[in-house]
Formats: sequence, structure tokens, C-alpha cells
Amino acid sequence: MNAETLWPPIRLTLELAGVTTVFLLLLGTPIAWWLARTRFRFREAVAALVALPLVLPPTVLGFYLLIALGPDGPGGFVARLFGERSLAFSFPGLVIGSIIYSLPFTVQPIRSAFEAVGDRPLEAAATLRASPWDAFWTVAVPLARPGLIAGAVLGFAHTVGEFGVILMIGGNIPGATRVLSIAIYDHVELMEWGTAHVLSGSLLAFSFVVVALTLSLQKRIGGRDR
Amino acid sequence: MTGSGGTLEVGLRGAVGELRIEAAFEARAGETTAIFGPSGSGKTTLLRAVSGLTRLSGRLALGPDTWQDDQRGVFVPAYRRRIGFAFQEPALFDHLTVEGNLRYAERRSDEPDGAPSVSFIGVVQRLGLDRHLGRMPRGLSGGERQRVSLARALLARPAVLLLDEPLSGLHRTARAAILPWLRALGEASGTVTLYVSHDLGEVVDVADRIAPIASGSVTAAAPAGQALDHLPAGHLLSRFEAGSVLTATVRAQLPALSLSELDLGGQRLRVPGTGRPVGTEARLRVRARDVAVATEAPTAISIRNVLRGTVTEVRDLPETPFAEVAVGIADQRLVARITRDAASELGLEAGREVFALLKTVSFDDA
Repeated sequence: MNAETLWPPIRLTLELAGVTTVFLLLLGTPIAWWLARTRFRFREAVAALVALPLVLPPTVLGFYLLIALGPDGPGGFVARLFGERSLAFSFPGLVIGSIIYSLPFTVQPIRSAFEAVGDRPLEAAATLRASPWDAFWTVAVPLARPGLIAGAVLGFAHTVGEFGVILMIGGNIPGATRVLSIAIYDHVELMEWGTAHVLSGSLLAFSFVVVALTLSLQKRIGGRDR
Repeated sequence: MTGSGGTLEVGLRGAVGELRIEAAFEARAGETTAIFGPSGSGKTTLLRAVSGLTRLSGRLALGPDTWQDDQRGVFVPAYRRRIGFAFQEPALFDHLTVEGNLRYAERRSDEPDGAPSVSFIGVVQRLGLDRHLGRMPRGLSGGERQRVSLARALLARPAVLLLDEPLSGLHRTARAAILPWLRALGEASGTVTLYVSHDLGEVVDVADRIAPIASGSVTAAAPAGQALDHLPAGHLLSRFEAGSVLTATVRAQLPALSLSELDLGGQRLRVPGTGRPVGTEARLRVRARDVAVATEAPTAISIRNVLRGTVTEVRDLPETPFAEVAVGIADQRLVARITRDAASELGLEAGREVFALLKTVSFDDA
């Protein structure tokens, strides 16, 4: 056990989770806003599509992603623009897979928070000459902030704990796609119990902090209505 | 408030749930028009339609600015209309302090630096919010929230101010202190004020014009005095704005003066209107505040209707400077609202002979 074997998967995991979380917020916030505000008839069908990764076995999701990201899929087309053959087994591929896989964990709390804001503050903002864009940033986002933080934390944490999807689309390339959960799996396979203990213990502590943080945030959202 | 945008012309109709709205009236700059009617008559919906938050069909214009015209496909969204809206349930921004709420409105108004008639500090002080500026809305009482909401609407410096029972959570004395100021503010700044209420006392205190609403229908805004006289007597008698209904016999028509002469227990009255046949009985309505009381027969006075009677009761109105004096005339009862100060100075008490001076009398069903 030494820093050179411990550190690369941790760094890669944090990079992946960080980049993914940024994209999750950029993508998930408008989706959550739309789901919370629209009167579109098939709104719940769209919501179900977003939530699908919650129930889909990661290997199934990973399989389809592998095809989509591979040389013959749209991912391969994009990759060729940058002189690569495929997005599978690459860091950008992992980010795309992680975004899809973690999206429901980000969208759901943000959507609930936007729904809790309700029409009234936004109507009040409109009567005070705030445009919808203005009102979104100055009223809706601040009022929904606990939900946005919860969405970011859950998206980050879920990406850190990812295993099946990554194994399918990223393989196990040290420094490129070998993230923490896969490293632990490898160490166990190689009977390196000590290293596995250190990494697993860290993830356990990390997960506990995340869950505690999220619960306290959700309590704050709930307290809003009282 | 940014002063006159002109007359607000409302011509809206449509259905919201069970209620059919049919509104056609004008509200003038500098005037407060009360939309007065019972709960569920569509008052709130009408204000929302004027603000653009609810969409009905028809036409809506403020002076030269068309806010809605379905024939031309014009619909200006709420945030582009120069309005201020105090909702019945104050929708304050819970993430901002009281001051934050007020500044939010002020920053987005046309004159962020403040017109003299509605300065930030003036509004804050008048509504008693100076001590609360640093507080969060969730810690405020209902009455405090309503005052913040009203202040916020004023600081938007609107051309059209929409007030939906804005003071319902306040004590009557607090309300009585705010209403005349609100009215004066609207007048000074040339704002069109629409004031929704089901409380006649409030309406009388605030309104230049009254637009009665019933089952979603508003057809005209009449000057306050005139509109009050058209209300069913029940409205007048049930509220603190007391009045009396007298029965008299028509004696003669005076078409040259547009008056009728009536007999009430042997005393003579002249009332506007000539529609009634001689010899029939007519019901007359007199508002308590339109009656003055004298202990000697007045001379050289413009008031033509003076009735001799006997005081039957003097009743102080708590928390107001006023007293109600009931005067028996023949076998009928007339109520006068005068100040307690005047009542004691004149030595009014039951059994005292007095002269009741009637400033305004009207036929009950005129």
C-alpha cells in the first residue's frame, strides 16, 4: 500500500464526480424547472424517462451507452471530430455516462424545491416588473437553494459510488477510467485487503457525511412550508 | 408612483371556473376606484386580469398604452405593465429581509431614486415599518406582512395600483390612519388606484368612485356619494357607516327645481327627483354622517331640510371620535353621526329638543 496506488483512483473519481456535478446542475436545473412548472400533458412521461436509471440495472444502461459511445454510435461520430475513434473507454465517455446515470438524483430534489416555491412569489415578482429570467434568478433559485444543494450533493455522491456503468463503458484503465469503486474491486480480487480497507473505509465515511448533510437540507426545505 | 399614465379603460370578459366575469368601466388617474362587492363576486379575478396574471378576453388600456387587445393580438405580460399589486395574502419573498423586499420593488421601478411623493423612507415610516426593516418576513405578524406588501406595491411606483383587501388584517384604527394617506398619495402622484374590498366602511373612507361588483359583473364606476345612494339599504344599515330610512308622503312635484316635496309627520322635506306620483309613500335614505344636529332653529343656511325632533339616544362609538345621536321625528328614527365633543358641548341627551339638518337625502330606490 502506498500513495502511488491509492491516489490516482481517488483523484480520478473526484475529477469525474466534480465535472459530472457541474453538468448535472447545468442540465438538471432547467429540466427540474420545466417539470415543476409545465402543464404539458405528458410531463410525467418525461419525468419517468429522467428517472429510468433509478431502476434500470447499471449493466443494461452501460450496454446501451457502450453502443452509443462506440465507433458506430453517435459518440463515435463526435469522437472522430476530435481525431479519436470512440468515446467509450475515455474520460469524456465516463462523464456522459455518469450524467445520465445520476440525473434523477439531481433532478428530483430540485424539482421538489421548485414546486415548493409555488406560483405566488413568482407572480409577486412579475407585478414588480421582474422578467421571468430575472425572477428565476432572484426569487426561484434563492428560495429553492436547499434543493439545489441537495441535488448537487446527491449527484456528486452517486457518481462517486458508480460501478456497473463505468465497468461497462470505461473498463479499468489506470489513470484514465479506473475510479475508486473499481480500484477497490481490483484490490479485493488481488487479495490486497489492507488497501481495500482504507479505500472502503474512506468511502463509508464520505457516504455517511453526504447522507447526513442531505437529510438536514431536506429538513430545511420541509420547514419552509410551516 | 410615477404619475399619470392616463385613464384605465377596462373591457374584459371571460370565465374563471364557475364565475363569469363581465367588466366594463373606467378608472381615472389620481382617483381611487373601489371595487365593492361580496366575497366570491370576482373582485380578485378582476384585479388579476388587469395585472396580466390572469388572462380574460377583451381590451384593456392605460391612456395611450394598450395592455390587451384581442382583436389586434396584443397582450402585454404582467412584468411589462406599470403596476403595483398588494395581494390579499401577502406574497413576500421569504429569502429577503423586509428591506430587501422593498428594495426589490424600488430597484425595478421606473424611478429607482425615488419620486418625492413616495420616498422609501416616507412609505416605511407612514406604514410603521422602520423598526422591522432588518427582520425576515416569516417572523412577522399578519398585519405586519400586509403593511410590507402594501409598501412594496407603492415602491414599485406604479401607474396602476391594485389593492386586494390590503388592510384586512389590520385593526380598524390602524386602517383608518392609513386609508386617507393612501388616497392622498394616489391623488398627488396621479395613480389609478383600484381598491377591492367587501367592507363598506373601508370603501367610504378610501374611494373617489365606487364600482359595485356582483356575480362577476361590473358595469360602471360612479362617484362615491352617488354609488352609495344606489346600494340597497341593507348594506348601509348593517355596517358602521350607519344610516336611516324614513318614510314620507309625496306632496308635490317641483319640476322647475327637479325636486319633490314630501311630508314627514307634518314637516316638509325637499328631495332630488320627481319620479313619484303625488300622494304616494316614499322611502328616503339618509346617511348618519350627512346629518348635523342643532339645538336652535338654524337660519341663513344652505341646507334646506331641517327636521324638528327629540333625542332618544346618544351612543358613543368606541375607538372613534364619534357618537351616534338618534332623533325621534314623529314616530320615526333618524341617526346622526357627530363628534363626541360636539355632543357633549351641545348637552345632547335623551329628551332634548333638537333640529336635525339633512345635508343629503335620497329616495331609497332611486
